[in-house]
Amino acid sequence: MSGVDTGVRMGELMGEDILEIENLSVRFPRRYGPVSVLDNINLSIGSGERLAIVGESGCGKSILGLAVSDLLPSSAVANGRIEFLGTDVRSMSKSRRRSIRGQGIGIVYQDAMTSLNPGMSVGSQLTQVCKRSGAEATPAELLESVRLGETRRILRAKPYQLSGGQRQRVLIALALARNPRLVVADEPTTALDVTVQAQIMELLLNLQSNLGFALLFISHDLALVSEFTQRIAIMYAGQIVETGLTTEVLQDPRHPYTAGLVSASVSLEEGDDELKSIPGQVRRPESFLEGCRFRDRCERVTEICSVRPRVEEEPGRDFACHHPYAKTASVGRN
Amino acid sequence: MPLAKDYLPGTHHPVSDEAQDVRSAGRSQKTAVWLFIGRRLATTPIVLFGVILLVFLIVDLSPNDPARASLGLFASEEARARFAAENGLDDPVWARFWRFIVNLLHVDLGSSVVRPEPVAQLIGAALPVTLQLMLLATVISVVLSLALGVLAAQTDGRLVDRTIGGLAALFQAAPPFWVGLMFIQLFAVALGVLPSGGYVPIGDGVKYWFSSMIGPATVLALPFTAAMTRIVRASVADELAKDYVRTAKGAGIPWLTILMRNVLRNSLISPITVLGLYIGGLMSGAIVVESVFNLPGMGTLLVSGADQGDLGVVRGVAIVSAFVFVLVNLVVDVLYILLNPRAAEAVAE
Repeated sequence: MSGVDTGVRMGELMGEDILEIENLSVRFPRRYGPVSVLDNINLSIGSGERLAIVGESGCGKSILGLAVSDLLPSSAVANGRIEFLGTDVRSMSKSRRRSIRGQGIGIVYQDAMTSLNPGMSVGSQLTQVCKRSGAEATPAELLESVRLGETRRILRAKPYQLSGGQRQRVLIALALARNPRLVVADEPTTALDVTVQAQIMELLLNLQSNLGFALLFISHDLALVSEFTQRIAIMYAGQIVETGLTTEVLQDPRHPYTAGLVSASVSLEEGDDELKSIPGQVRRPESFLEGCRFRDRCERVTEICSVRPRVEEEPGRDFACHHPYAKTASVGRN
Repeated sequence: MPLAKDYLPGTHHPVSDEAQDVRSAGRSQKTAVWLFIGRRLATTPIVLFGVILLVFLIVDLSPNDPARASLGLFASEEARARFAAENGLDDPVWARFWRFIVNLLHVDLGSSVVRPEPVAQLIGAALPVTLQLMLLATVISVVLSLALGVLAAQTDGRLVDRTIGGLAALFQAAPPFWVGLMFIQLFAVALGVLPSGGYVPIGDGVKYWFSSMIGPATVLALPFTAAMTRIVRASVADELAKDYVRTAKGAGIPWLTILMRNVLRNSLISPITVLGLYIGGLMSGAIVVESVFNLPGMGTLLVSGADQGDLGVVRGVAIVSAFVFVLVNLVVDVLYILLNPRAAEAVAE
C-alpha cells in the first residue's frame, strides 16, 4: 500500500456528509440494564461513499444499522444525534421521519425470507412502495434493474416461491424503489451460497455506482469488505475501535482487535496449518467491561486499560487504544 | 494484498442462480388449492351420511314412544298398534332408516305428532330466525373482535390492552343466560329502548326487526367476541413482531396501511379457524338465547319438541343443525385455504 496519508476523510473527498452520527448511545434498559449496547458512536458517511461496519456477532453492528434507519424497537433508549443531510432525525416530526425512511434511507436486510411479507405477492409489495413519493420506476422496471428476468411471473409469485438469490434481489429492489440517498445493507449475503453472494454483491456495487447512493455495508466478512468498500469502521462490544480507509486499516491495523480480526482472516487465506483466532468471545451486553471493552481478550492489556481509551486521531485514521500497534508494526507481519 | 480475491467485480453473471421455476410453483399451488376444495366437497356427503345415521339411531333408541306422544297416555293398546302399523313403527330398523333417507331426499322430515304442520314446515319457519340471529351475532363478533384485538395488539401491555383483556376474560366466563337477563333488565326494563323479547320479521319493518334482534344477537355474540378478541390480539401481536413489518416500516409505508393491508391478512388465519369452530357453538348458544328472548327459532323448536316427546321435530332440528354446521365449516375451510395457499400444498403433499 502506498502509505501516503491522504490527510482527509473519504467523506470529505466524496462531497458533503449525508449522514453524521454524533455521540450515539443506545441502551435496552429492560433487557440489559444501564449498559450501552451502542456506546458513544461517532461516524459519518459522505454522499456516494461506501462505508463498512465490521465486527463479530453481537458487537452491535445491526443495532447501529437500525438506529441509522430510524427503526430501533420501542424498547430501545437512544441518546445523541443522527443527522441526515444536516438535520437531527430524532427531533423531526413523525411524518418527516417517515419520509426519510424509504425515501432518504433504504435498507437491505439480512434474511430475505422473513423480511418479505409471506402473504403478499412480490408485485403488491413493490407496488405499495412504488406509490410513495420519490419512486419513479414501476415494479417491473425495478425487478429488471436488479437483473431479475421473467418479471411478470415474479411479480405474481409469493416470496416462498422464489429462490434465495431472487428474494435478495427483490429486497434490493424494494430498498431502491424510492431512490434513497443512503442504503444500509445489513449482511445482505450471509444467507446465500458463495456464488450467489458474489452476484448479489456485484449487483449492489453496480447499482451503487450507477445511482450514486451512499452505502453503509454491515458485515463480518473482511474479504467482502476489502473488495467493496472505501472506508471501514471496526466495532467491538458496541464501540467503534478503529476507523480509516479500508485498505489501510486492513493492511496496517493499529488496534489489537483489528489486528486479531485481520490475522484470523489472513491465516484462512494463507492456508495456515492452524486457524489463528482471538481467544475468548464477545461478552453479553450485561457483562461488558468498564474501560476498554476488549481488554479481557487482548494480549497487550495493562492496568491502564480499565480506563476508557481516548480516540486517537491520526491523519486518515482514528482508533481507541492505550497500546496501539506502531504505525508500521504490522506491515510485513505476514 | 493477501485478502480474498475471489470476487471479481465487473464480471457479468447471468441470472441463473434461480433453482426453482416460478411458473411451475404457481401452477402446482393452484392445482393444490382446487384439489383440496374438490376433496373437501367429496368428503362432505360422507360426513352428512354419518350425521344422519347417528341422529336416526339416537332418536330410535330413545325410550320415547311416538304413538303414546300422539295418542295420549291413556290410548288403548289397539289404537297404539294401529298407529304403529300405519306409520311403520314395527318395521325393522334398516327399513325405517331407508324410508327416512328417501323421505329426506324429498325434503320430507316427517310429521310432528303434536302439531298439525309437517316438521319440514316447522323448521322452515324456525331456521331463518336462528340463521338471522347467528349471522348478526357473527357480524357483531367479527367486527368487534377485529377492532378490539388489533387495538389491544397495538397498545401491547398498556392500559388499553389490559382493559380489553380483562373485559374479554369477564365476558368469556359469564354465562349467556345471565348476561341475557341482565341485558333485558338494562335495555328493556330500566332504559326501555329495546323490547324484552319476541320476534318481528324483517318484512314488518327493518327498524322493528333490528330492535327485536339486536339484543339476542349481542348476548349471543358476547362470549364469542371475547374469545375471538383474545385470539385476534395474539395473532396480530405475533405478526407485528415479524421482520417484514420492519421492512414495510423502513420503506416508509404508513402505519395504518401496514396494519390493514399487510399484517391483518396474515393474522386472520388462526382467527378464521376458530371462527369455524365457534359458529357451531353459536348454534347451541342460540338455544339458550332464544329461550331467554322468546324467539321462535330452532332452539325454541328443539326444546319444545324434546319436552313434548315429539321425536320427528327433535330429529329434524338435529339434522338440519348438523347440515348447517357442516356447510359452515366447509365454507370456513375453503376460505382458510384461499387465505393460506401453502396449507393446500402441505395437504396435497
